[in-house]
Amino acid sequence: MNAQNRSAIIWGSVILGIIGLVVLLAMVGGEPSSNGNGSEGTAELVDPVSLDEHIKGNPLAPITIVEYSDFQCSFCERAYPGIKQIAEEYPDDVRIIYRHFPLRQAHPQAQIAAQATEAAALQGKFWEMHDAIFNTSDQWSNASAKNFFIQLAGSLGLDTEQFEKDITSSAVVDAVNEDLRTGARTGLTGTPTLFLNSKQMSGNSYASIKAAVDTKLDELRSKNGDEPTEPAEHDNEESEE
Amino acid sequence: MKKAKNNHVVFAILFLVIALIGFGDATYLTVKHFQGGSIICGTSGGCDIVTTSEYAKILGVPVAPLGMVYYLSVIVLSVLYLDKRKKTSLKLLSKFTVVGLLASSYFVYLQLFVIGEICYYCMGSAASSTLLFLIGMVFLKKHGRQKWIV
Repeated sequence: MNAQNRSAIIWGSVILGIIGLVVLLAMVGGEPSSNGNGSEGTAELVDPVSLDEHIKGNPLAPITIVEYSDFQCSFCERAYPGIKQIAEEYPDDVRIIYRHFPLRQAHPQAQIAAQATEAAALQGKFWEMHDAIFNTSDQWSNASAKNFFIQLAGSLGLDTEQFEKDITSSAVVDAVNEDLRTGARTGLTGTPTLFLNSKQMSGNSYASIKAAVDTKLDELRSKNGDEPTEPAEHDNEESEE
Repeated sequence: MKKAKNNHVVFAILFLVIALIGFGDATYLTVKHFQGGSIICGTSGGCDIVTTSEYAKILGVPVAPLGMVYYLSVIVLSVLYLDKRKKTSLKLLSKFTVVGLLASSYFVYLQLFVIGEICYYCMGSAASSTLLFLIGMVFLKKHGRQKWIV
């Protein structure tokens, strides 16, 4: 009986300990780092913006917002209309740069979705595809995404034969991977992560982006009063090449 | 005789503690794997690249839960010794650590030479596996031959 009790205590405490450990880690680890405002941090953009990236708005705008995003991430999808609205409200002062950060294993279709936008970009319709993919996320997340994107390309008036060739081409895959690498170098902790003139932003809702943009605009205006649309003054800026 | 037993207990506890650390590490990676969040790690940020790479699965089975199973077996074997005091479980455990060492060596190789990015949590698991292996070898060297002597 004594030995039995001892066994029971040993195994009981080990099992309880392990369950506790798993629960604890599931809570800590399960805390979505890819959440609405989870990307608060002080990271700075490592890789400078170049003009051949996907830019929405005035390419020489004084304010640059770089967005690292994943088409299959629900927080990214939720953030997208707000970001789009910012781009529409500040067409001269803000440029939005989209960079891919597909969490490929968690989001099995994120990579091919990113490739679809790159393939569309080859025909000059990156942003159209970007919007269309976010708008239809419930239709391709579980289905055969590639065929869906080819159809989508057709509906956007793209050359679907060319698109089908491009979507899995090595150039397109490399373009996505290159973004992924820059994101890793920057030390991203989740998606979506936004940078305003190279500084990581603390939120990604329409209101928080607008507030940050307005603050920055005021700052820029008070600095160089009568030259409002000077190309951005931050260090990481590289407009040429 | 009494001393030898105490010595065994020390080994069993060492195995247990290190396996628990490894288990926690593997659990975290597993949670991240299924939950889909990206992994916060140092400035190099290699974790996501490593854990989302094609090498994070073997024949379609994710690696992280395999790590959990491995550490769990080590935990069970060491507790089995602490409970029943049968040397066989510790010997079996010591031999079993070779599996962890081989798997970890392969993953370290992948990170350094194939993927080119390092994931700290994965390296942490490799470190605990290596430690388990070293302790296992010390144990076998000290006690492994008793079977034939006795």
